[in-house]
Amino acid sequence: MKRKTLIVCEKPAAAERIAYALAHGKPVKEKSRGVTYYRLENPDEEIVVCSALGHLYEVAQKDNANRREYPVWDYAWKPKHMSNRESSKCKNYIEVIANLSRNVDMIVNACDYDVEGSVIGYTIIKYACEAVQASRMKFSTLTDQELREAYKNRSPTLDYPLIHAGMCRHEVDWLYGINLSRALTESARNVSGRYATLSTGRVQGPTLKFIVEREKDILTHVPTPYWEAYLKVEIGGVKLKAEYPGKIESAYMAEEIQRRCEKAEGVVRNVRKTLAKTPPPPPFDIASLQSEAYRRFRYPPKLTLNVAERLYLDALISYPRTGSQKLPPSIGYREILEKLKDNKYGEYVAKLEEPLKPVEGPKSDPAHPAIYPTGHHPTQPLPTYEEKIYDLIVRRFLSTFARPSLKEFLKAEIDVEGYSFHLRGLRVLEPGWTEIYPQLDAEGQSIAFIEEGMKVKVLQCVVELKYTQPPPRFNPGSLLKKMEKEGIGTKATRADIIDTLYSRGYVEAEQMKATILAQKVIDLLTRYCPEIVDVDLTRSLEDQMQKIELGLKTREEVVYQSTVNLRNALLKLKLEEENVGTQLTEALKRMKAENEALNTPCPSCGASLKVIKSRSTGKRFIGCLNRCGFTLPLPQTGKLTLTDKKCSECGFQMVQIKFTRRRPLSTCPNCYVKRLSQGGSASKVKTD
Amino acid sequence: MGLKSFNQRCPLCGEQPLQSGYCEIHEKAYETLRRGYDAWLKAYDGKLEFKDYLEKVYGLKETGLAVKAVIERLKVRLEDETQDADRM
Repeated sequence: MKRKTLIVCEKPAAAERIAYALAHGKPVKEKSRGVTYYRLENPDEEIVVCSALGHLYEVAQKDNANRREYPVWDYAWKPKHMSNRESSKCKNYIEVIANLSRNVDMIVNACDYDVEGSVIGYTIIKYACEAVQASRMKFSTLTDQELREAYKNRSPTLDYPLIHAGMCRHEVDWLYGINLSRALTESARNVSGRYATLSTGRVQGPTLKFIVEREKDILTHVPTPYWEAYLKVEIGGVKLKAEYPGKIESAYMAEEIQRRCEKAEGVVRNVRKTLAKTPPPPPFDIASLQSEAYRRFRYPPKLTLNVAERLYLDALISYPRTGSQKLPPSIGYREILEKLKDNKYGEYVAKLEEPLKPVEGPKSDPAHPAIYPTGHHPTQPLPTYEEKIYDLIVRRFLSTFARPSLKEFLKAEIDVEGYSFHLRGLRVLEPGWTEIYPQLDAEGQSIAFIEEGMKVKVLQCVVELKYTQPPPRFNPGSLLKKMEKEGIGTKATRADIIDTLYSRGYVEAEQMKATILAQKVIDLLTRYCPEIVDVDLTRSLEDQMQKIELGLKTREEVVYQSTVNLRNALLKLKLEEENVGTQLTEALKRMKAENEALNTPCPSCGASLKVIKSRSTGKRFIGCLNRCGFTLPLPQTGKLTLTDKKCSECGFQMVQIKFTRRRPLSTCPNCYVKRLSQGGSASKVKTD
Repeated sequence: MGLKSFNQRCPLCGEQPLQSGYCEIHEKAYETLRRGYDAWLKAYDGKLEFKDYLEKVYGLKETGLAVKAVIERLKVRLEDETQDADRM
């Protein structure tokens, strides 16, 4: 009699890949209650490959007590559809998996090999299959060869340290999230009588605090004047630019430099040439991929993660949720490079020299290597997002094997009337890896011909008055980097947390501006329970969870300690409930008023304009408060924000619409209508 | 700095004030504005009246909104003081 095995995968696309990789022939695709699974008849065993939809179980309140009450300490892992109406599909998946697991000899967890994958598989095996024994497949790519090897060499037991660390994170995050969010929401509701979702969490709080602190620095910035000077010079018939080093801090000195240097003559001194060998950047881990995709294409971190996951499910790249910057030889460099030779990357592969040894970064991940292309070719043209991210990953991977780039930096001093100006130049001697992975800012003026003693003719001395700038606002990319640097959140959760800050109305615009509500929430939490928004507490919890993974702490110990800390914070909030509620209510009212009032006057009568929601249709539009009849339509979906920007064509206030997992759109409602009336494309909007 | 009683408000935004009468942000804005005058005096070699300093800072796009709110209030106060002095 053949052995019966059930393989549980994380997503339907992964199940299909695994089924095809393990089948001796073609797997039989079956469907039950809308859930697809695969049957494989191999010589010695019968395998069923089924999939989940990510998490099918989640932490929820144990009993069905009042959802407004807090604190809540009793929790249980429950089917997701029981606590989340949007997860109704999970019910069918759980029932189908439970049926398939009956009478099997073995269950294999083939979810992604990381903390989340281990938890997803474990909760399904424990609660849906009601099994105690299972084995674990560990793989980094969904290529046939690696999947077959992972199945053959699967671990005989589940990875319990990883599972406990993951479950602990979910439990602690749930306890913090539900209790603190209810404390804020209920405080406001008790005062205003109205419901508004106010949330904070173990990672969300400190992350929002970064943005709020930055906003305070911007709000209180007083610019200080300084001057910068540069010369437009001619040396040996070539026109160049020489800069006065540093800031000039007094108006008198700036005037003096300009008066004396204008149309003067000078001489070149101290010509220095330095060679700089720059090694290629390390291969991508998920955080560096997200930052780079934002820097180059302005893709939000969540979008990059989703795109990378799709590329992984298509077996085009390795597992993207990795913290590693290492490329071990076991991934098979030569084979991957051979495969990449057959497409547009062939010219770069041909230039790589032996021995093939990639540059690696300091970060490592016990479960996965850095992100690398599998060498498989896309079976059909990739959509734009996928194409760009795939190209970035392939180029970065290839560049790690390339030679360093060699640049010559030239620096010369120019003496004019006793003032020393700097002339800088850059010459690329060997492009090396930059040919494969071009840099964004690699240009410089060519001054290779400059020699000491050359005469300099000053054509113009330019002195510019400047002002110190406020610190820049975070953008999704820089915030992600900050979270990583501070050690809060995980590679899997950071992008979601940034999305949540937008959806809660705490931040707006791509250059993340903290709203009045965000400032108030952080102000109150900092005043009454500072530890909740303190990065140290969050970081120490991350350390404790790492210790669970290493077997140095138990899940129970960490959850208990967290509840003790949380209890103290909740007590302080409870004591100030009325005060907290009053202040939150005021902030909500102010924010609502700000979000509705436009700063452009009505073009018809000059009165104020406002975003209005129709009582009869529920649709939103811009209307005149003077009721003169002027109206403008607005997009009906997405989160609407009135931006500070004015339309370059008509001067009307621009609006921004932020969609889930899509780039935000900026548009001018006034020009939109004009285009419509002229019969043009209504969808002509700017993407930020 | 301690908090004032709950029913007193920052004159600029209605938030809870510190001892100075301003809320935390406007207090910080006021302090940076006060300190900023020294830097501006140095930049213009001591030849800058406080009133002119306020005008210049108010007109810059880099100036924080909380600072602008403080300047508006200070300007009104300065005008009142000038009018009082003229009357006397």
